[in-house]
Amino acid sequence: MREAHESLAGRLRQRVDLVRVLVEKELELRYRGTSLGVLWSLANPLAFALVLHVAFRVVYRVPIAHYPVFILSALFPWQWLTTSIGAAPLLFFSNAPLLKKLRFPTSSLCLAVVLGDLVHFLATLPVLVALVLITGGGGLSARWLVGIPLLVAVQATLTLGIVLVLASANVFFRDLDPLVRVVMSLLFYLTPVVYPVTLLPESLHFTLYLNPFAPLMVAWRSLVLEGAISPWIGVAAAQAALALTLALGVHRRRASLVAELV
Amino acid sequence: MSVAVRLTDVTKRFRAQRVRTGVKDALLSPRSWLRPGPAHEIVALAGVSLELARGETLGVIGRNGAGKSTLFSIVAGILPATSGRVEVHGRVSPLLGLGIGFSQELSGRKNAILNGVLLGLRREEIEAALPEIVEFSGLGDFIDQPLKTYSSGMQMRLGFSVAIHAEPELLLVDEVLAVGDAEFNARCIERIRALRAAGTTILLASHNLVSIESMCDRAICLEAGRVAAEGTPREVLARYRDLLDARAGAKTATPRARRGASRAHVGLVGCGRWGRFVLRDLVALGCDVSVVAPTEASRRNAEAGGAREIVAHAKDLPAVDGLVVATPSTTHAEVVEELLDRELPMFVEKPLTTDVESARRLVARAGERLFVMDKWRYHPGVLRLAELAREGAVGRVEGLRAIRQQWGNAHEDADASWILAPHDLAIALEVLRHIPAPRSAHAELHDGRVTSLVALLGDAPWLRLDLSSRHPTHRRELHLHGSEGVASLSDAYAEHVSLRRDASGDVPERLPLSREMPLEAELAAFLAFLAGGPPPRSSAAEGLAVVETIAALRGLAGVPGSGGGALSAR
Repeated sequence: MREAHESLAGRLRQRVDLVRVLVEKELELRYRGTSLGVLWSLANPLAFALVLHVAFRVVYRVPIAHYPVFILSALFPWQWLTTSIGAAPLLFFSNAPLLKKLRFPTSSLCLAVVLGDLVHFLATLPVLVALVLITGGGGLSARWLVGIPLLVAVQATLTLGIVLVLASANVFFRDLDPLVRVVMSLLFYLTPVVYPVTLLPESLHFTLYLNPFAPLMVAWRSLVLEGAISPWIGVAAAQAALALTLALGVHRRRASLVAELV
Repeated sequence: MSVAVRLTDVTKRFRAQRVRTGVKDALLSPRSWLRPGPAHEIVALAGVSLELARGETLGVIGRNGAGKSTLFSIVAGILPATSGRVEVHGRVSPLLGLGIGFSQELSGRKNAILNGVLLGLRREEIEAALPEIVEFSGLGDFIDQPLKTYSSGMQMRLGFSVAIHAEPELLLVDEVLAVGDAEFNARCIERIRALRAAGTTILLASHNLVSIESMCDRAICLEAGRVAAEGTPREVLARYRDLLDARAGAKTATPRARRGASRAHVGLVGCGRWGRFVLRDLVALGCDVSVVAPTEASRRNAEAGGAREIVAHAKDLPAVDGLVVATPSTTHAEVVEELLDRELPMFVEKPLTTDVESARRLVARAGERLFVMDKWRYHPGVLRLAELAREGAVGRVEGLRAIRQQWGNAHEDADASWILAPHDLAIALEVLRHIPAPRSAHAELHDGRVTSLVALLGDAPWLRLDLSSRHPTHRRELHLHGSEGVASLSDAYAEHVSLRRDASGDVPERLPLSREMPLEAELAAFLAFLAGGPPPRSSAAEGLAVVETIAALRGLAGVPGSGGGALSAR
C-alpha cells in the first residue's frame, strides 16, 4: 500500500518527521502564552550570571577579566545539559499514554528533548556574541564557525547518551529523578563553570577526565574566550561516543519493556 | 490466501513485582539487585493462537480483563509476548485509544499532524490528508482553535478521523466505537466498513455486540486469557452471553433472564438519536422490536437497527409484551397517556415528564406499571458507590457531589435542568437511597433556558449538584464523602472507583469496575420484569420525585416561568 515505508530511507524520513513534530510541539508548548516567549531561556542564565558576577567580582573580587563573558561561555551550554538531563528520568512516565497505546521508537522522545533544548541554547548564542562585541572580551574568530558546530554535535551526542540511559533506567529504578537533581547540582561545582580550570591544582587535573562534563565546558570556554579549538574537544568527543554507545546498548535491551512498565 | 496476522501459542505474563521500589530498598538489600523480589505474576494471555487472513475482519469479545487489550497491544507491537510467535505483516494502525498524544494547548491542525506522525505517517502525507480529515470530522473552522476549546466529542472525532486516514493495512480498533455521538458513530462504522471493503484487515474489539455481529467475518471470545470460543460472530456471541449469564447467575439473586425473555416482543416509541441505541440493545438482547417512527429519520434508524415492524403512529403498534418510550422528554406525558389503554408495562426514558402536574397524573393513573429508565442506576461505578455507602467503606455518609459538565445540549425541547439533573438525582436515589430536600440553587440562563445549575440539597447526607451544558470540556464526576474518607468515580467510562480513607497516607485504593453497559443492563432488567422477574429501577413514584425536585430547584433558582414558588417550600 505504501512502498515508501517499506524502504529504509522511507522509515528514516518518517523518523526525522517524528522527531521534528515532537520538537515543534515542545517548543510551542514551553513558553506558550508568555509574552516574552523564548527570551525566558535567556533570563535564567543571565540572572544567575549577574548573581555570580556580584558575588565573585564585586564581593570577592576574583581576578578574572571579562567576567560576564567568562561565566556565560560555560553557563549557557551548561543550562542546555542540565535541562535535558533533568527532564530525562520522568520522560517516559510523562509520555506513558503515548508509549502504551502507540508503537514508535522511544529513543525519538529522548532525541526530541535534546534537540528542543538545543534550540533554546542556539537562541543564547547571539547574546554571547553581542556581549563579546560590547565588552571587548573573548576571542571572536573565524574558528567559531567550525568550533561551535563541532561542540554542539559533541554535546548533543553526550546529552542524548545520558538522557537515553536515565530515561530507560528510571523505568526500572524510580528514584532517579531526585537523585539526578542532587548529582547535577554537585557536578555544577565540580565542573569548571563558575571558576577557570586553571584554578584547579595540577594534582586534581585527572578528575577532569572522570567528569563527563568538564572537558566539554573547558572546550566551550577556550573557544569563546580565546577562539581556540581546544584539545579537550577530543576528550569530550571520546566521552560522548562512549556514552552514546553504552546508552544505545542499554536502551535496546530495555526498550521493549518500557511500554509495559511505565 | 496470505496471512496478515498469525499468533502461535502466545503467552503474556505481567510481573506485578517487577519494579524495584527504589534506592532505599536497593541499598538495604543488595541481594535484590541480583534477584528481584518474589514475583507475583498475572497471566494476561495463556497460549493464544489465531490466524487472520489478509482482508479478513475478526471480532474479539470478552469481559473486561479477559485479555483483549493485551492481545491488541501485542499485535500492535507495543508489548512483547512472553513466549510464543507473533507474525504481523503490513502497516499497522493501532486505534487503541483516540487522540493519543493530543495536547490541549495546540490547535486541532497541529494535533492532527502530531497524531498522524505518531501513528507512522510522513508529515507530508498527513498534511495532504488534512482537508479530508477536517471534512470527515466535521470540525470546520474549529481546526485552527486550540484543542481545549473542543468538547470531548469533537476531540474524539478528530482522533478517529486521523487514525482512519492513516490508511493502514491492518487496523486495530479497541473499544473506541462506544463513544461519540450517534451520528458520528454511524459514520465511523461506515468508514470502517469501507476500509473493510477495500481489503483492509481489521481486528475489532467492542462491547457493542451488534457491531461485532454485523461487521465481522469471524469472531473469537476471550475468557481469562484463553480463546474460549471461535467461529461465526453469531456462535461466538451466543457463547459470550452464556458466559455473562453464568456470571450474573452466580453473583446475584436476580438473574438477568437474558435468554428467558429472548422471544419477548417490545414496542419502542421513538427511534431518534437516543432511541436507536435502545433499539440496538433490545435487538442485541434477543427480542423482537416493533418501532413507532413518526419521522423519516427515525424510520431509517429503525430499519438500520433491525426493527421487526415499523409504524408511523402508536395506535398502529401490533400486540406487544411491553413498551419502551424514547421520545423527547417534553412529549413523554402525551405519549404515555395515549398508550395507557393498552395496560402494558411501560419503560419511559428519564425524566418522566417535564412538569409536575402531568407527572402526578401519570403516577395516579398507571403508577404500578410505569417505570423510568435511569441507566445510571445500572452503571457499574454508581452501583459500586452505592455498595461502598452501604458497607460504610467511607464511614458515615456525609454527602454526594455530582458533577456533570459538557458543551451543548443535544435536546431542543428541554433545557439543561431537565436533561442533566435527572441523571444525578437518579444517582442520588441509588447511592443515598433518597433525594434530599432542595435547600439552595443557582442557575445560569441563556435565552431564558437553564444552561447550568448549581444546587445544594439536604443535610447529612447532602447532595451537591454542579451541572452545566456550557462548559468546554466534558466532565462526569461523582464523589461520595463520608466521615472517614471519600470514594470517587472520575468519568462515565472510568475503569475503577478510587477509594481514599483519611487515615491512610497511601495512594487511593482502586476498585476495578466491570464494563457492563448501563443501557443494555437496564433494558435487560425490563425484559426480565416482562418475563416475571422483579421490577426495574426506577419506579414511577421515584420518577415523580425527580420531576418535583427539578421543579423545586428551578423555583429556588428563580428560573422565570418555573412556577416553583409553592413547590420550593416542600
